[in-house]
Amino acid sequence: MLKPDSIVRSLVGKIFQRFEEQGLKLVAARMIKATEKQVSKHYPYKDKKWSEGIGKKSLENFGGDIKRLKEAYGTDNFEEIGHIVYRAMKGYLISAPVIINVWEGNHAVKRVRHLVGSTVPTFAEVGSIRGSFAFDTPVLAVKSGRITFKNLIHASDSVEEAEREIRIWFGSKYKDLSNYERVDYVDIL
Amino acid sequence: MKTDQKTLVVVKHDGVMRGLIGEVMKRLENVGLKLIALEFLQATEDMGDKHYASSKENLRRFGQHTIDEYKKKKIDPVKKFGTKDPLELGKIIKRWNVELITRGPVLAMVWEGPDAVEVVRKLAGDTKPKEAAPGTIRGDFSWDNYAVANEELRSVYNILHASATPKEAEFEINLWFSKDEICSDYEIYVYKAMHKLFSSK
Repeated sequence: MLKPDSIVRSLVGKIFQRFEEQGLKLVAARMIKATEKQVSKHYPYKDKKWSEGIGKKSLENFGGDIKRLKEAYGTDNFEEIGHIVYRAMKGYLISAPVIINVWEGNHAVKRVRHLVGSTVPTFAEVGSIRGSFAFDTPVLAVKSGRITFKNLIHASDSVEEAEREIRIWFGSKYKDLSNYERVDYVDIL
Repeated sequence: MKTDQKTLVVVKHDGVMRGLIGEVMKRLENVGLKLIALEFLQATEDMGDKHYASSKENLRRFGQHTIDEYKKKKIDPVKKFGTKDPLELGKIIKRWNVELITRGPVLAMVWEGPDAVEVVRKLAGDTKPKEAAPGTIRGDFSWDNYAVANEELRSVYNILHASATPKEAEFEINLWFSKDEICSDYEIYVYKAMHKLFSSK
């Protein structure tokens, strides 16, 4: 999913091009305005385990310094931090349209994750999408009052997650259009 | 100048197959156009038929154009198409256009910006790729021309469709998208930065 920052920064073509150049094949794509319902399914903040996990990750982002964490979020309760982060992410995802897209290819999940780069853009590998076009960090996001950092894109981390997310974001409008050839590998497959 | 003019762009299946979606979008984004609708879809026969809806007068004009070209090359259209009636020929050409746009999935998009129709047509380049200037999408990515296409009994592979007039754009946007699929309620950063530039003067 291309998040609002990739759209307002006019980076959609460059990101699509990265996938196409890798020989990945577009299967489905739509531009939509994300709804609160979709976001709450995508990030299950009511699930205590999920929210606490986010809180723990936030502590890691602050180098394990509880004092700084408390200063930043006004609390050191992991679940509460999870909720604060969720609200910020919701605001981020509905601030402008998103583009949901599905790609197919040999080891597509793994390759797309690799291509996208690690979660925090500033520390993402140079040459990856985040490493090339984004520059945010969790600490900068908190400092500037945004809470959640902008990292351009979300990619499923397993086939099961991809299926779950396709249901959330495409719903009944999903149609697999992979039955076509790409000239790049017309004689390989 | 209308600042929020909209235009329809369809990356046709020849562009999709060649992996040129990102390239086309990048060029439209680069000039500062705003993407407000996008769907990857398989167009139906009915959509293709309506998309290339033409008056008899226009079909006749398309047909006559082909006949004139053939005359120059001293080819008998009857031998090639079984007819030299401009209207019948026009119908054949429309048929090819519908065939190309329904051949496989395409990427339909709506772009918005000042004089968007004209700006996108400029970036796309001449409909006949061979004539299209270097630097345009068609000039850079296709060599196709009517002579080759007619020989192979098909429409020219010109990568994308772009609305020709604001009126045509309105008709085509309604054909390809429903109102609730248009997401124009946001601002791209290029505009935001420019507004700031002027307000701080």
